[in-house]
This record gives sequence, C-alpha cells and structure tokens, in this order.
Amino acid sequence: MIKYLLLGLLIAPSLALAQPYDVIKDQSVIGFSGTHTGKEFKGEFEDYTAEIDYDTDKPDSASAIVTMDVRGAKTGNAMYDGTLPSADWFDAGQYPQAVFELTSMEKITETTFKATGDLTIRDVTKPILFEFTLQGNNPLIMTADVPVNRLDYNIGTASDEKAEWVSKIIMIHIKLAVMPRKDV
Amino acid sequence: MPNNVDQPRMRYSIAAIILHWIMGVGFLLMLGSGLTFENWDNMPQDLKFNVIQWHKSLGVLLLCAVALRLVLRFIIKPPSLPAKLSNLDKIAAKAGHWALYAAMIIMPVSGWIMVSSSSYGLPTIVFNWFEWPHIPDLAGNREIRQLSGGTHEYTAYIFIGLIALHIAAVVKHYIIDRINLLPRMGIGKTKS
Repeated sequence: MIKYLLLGLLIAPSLALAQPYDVIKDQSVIGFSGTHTGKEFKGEFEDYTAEIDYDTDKPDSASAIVTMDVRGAKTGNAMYDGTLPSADWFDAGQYPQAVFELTSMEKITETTFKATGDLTIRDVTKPILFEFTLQGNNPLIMTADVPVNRLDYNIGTASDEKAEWVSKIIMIHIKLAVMPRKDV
Repeated sequence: MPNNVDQPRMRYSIAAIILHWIMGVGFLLMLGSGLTFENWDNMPQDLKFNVIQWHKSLGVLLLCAVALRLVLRFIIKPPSLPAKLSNLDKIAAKAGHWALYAAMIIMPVSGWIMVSSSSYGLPTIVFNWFEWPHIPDLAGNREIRQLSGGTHEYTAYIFIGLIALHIAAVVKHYIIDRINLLPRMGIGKTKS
C-alpha cells in the first residue's frame, strides 16, 4: 500500500506538468523535398501519429514521439511513389515506420527552440539536431525545416550512393498544429 | 471470279505487314535511344532519365507486339519464298528471319529482366498509361542484373547486324537476282 502511495506521489507531479497535445491533422503537414535529375520533387507523409507532451512553462520537459508510416510517403508522381517503398529506398515491407523521438528541447528565444532527438528510418537510428519555431496559441504551431542526409539512413545506397540522380539531402518540412487534449 | 484461296499468296497478311513496319520503326528507335543513353557521357540527367523511361515504355509495347506477331505467324502462314531463289538463299532467308525473331524476343525480355533486377526499384509506367509489373523476386539481384545487361547489350549489336543483313538481302535479291521482295511486305504491287 505504501509502495503504491509513494509511486503515486512520484507520478502525480509529472502528470500535472505534462499536458498531452493532439495534432490537428488538416492544419498540419509533414512534407519532404529533394531533387531528382536536378528537378525538385515534393511529397508528404500522409500517415503519421504524434504523441506530444508539452508544458508552456517548462519547455525543456517536453516529450514527443512522431511515427510516420513510410508507405504513406506520397509525391503524386507514380514513378516516384512506386520507387519509394522499394527495397533500396524505404524498404517499406521490412521497415514500415520511421520514428522521431525528441530527447531534449531548449528555448532560444520566445518563439524559437532547439531540439535534439533520435530519428529512425529503416534500421538506422541517428541523433539529429534542428531548430524550430513555436507560435500561436490554440492551436500552437510548430514549424521546422530539417535536412536529412538519406545516405545516413541507407536510403538509396545501392542505386545512387554518389547522389548523381537523387540529392543526398532530403528536407523534411514540418508544420504541426497542436491543441491541448481536452479529455484529460 | 478468281479463287484466291487455292492460289499461293504473294504477300504477307495485312496484319503481319503492319506489324512488320511498325516494329521495324520501333526497334530502330529502341536501338537508337539505347545507344544514345549508353554512350553519351555528358547526357543531361533529366533527358537521360526521361529517355530511359521512354525506352522502357516502348520496350513493353514491342514485347507485346512480338508476341502478337509470333501468334499471327503460326496462324496465318507466310507466303512461300519465291521459287527463283536458290536453295542456299532460301535457307539463309529462313535462318535470318528466325534469328531476327530471336533477337526481337531476347531484346525486350532481357530488358524486362534488367529493370526487374535493378536495385533502383523504378516502376515501368508505360507512357504514363499503365504500370507494367516487374518480374517478382529479382529486385537487387546483381548477378542477374549483370547477366541480363550483358545479354541486352550484345544482343543489340547482333540485332543491328541482322537488320543490316535483312536490308542487304532485299537489295541483293533486287539487284543481283532481279527479285523484288518489297511487294511481299506491302510496298508496290505483286505480279500475279
């Protein structure tokens, strides 16, 4: 009994601080862009979920896990959309999910922050660091442009390791509109 | 009324004639485009990519066309070779034609295996019209990719030689043997 009370005391403050947020999907987008044969292509991860806990007063205690289903990565170009899930690219059959997990967040200015986290694509997990902005209130809007070197994640290494066709850097364009969850 | 059924036909069927000329142009475009993107070192990436996709598209159509043509060939017998031809010429003609058929089959099939075994994983979308599937379970198989690539390349050179012989034979029969073979393929009138 005492054990549970103690456990309760330990959990309670963190529960009080951590406010879960929900993503408003129709105001949010996780996009990507790069170049192929020198021409820009753009796409979106159409299927993703985000678990976000955030306290306005204690931004450095935030936690976030964003899970993208790579089978939902679409450019609208049948040639690209047919290629993306194949074995040398996302290998979606084997690794259907890409995951970003925030490990720390630091306030720079009132609206800009620095984030570090682990990005997992295919079977590779690497730390990434990027800046983002946080603006507005209900919804709170987070935006970031994050460069990712596809070769770091073994994407297209057999097809185009020298990046003669597809750019090495793929930009991830994030705009997440989030609202505090009401039913908690 | 003349009874054409019992007379030996002088020309190929209209379907065979149409297929012959369309495929002739098609294969020349294939050889031209293939030699271009394989040998033009500084070909702009964008152009190269598009020409290769176009090459894949036309290759699929030619594979279907050669299948159709073979079926037709067995259903509608081709006209017999002119009696004036020497036996050696007849054998050479038959060998040449079957070698051309072999090349017309090997070229698209080896190309299809190449695309299917490539690590690129690029689909074949025939002229933005429909997707032609890859042969399953070959993706990323380097050995098969190399083997099919070699076959595709060397068969292309042999094919060019065979086409040259095919045309040279028509010229040779016309000039030396005084036999005009073109009406058999729909150019000019057959003498009855």
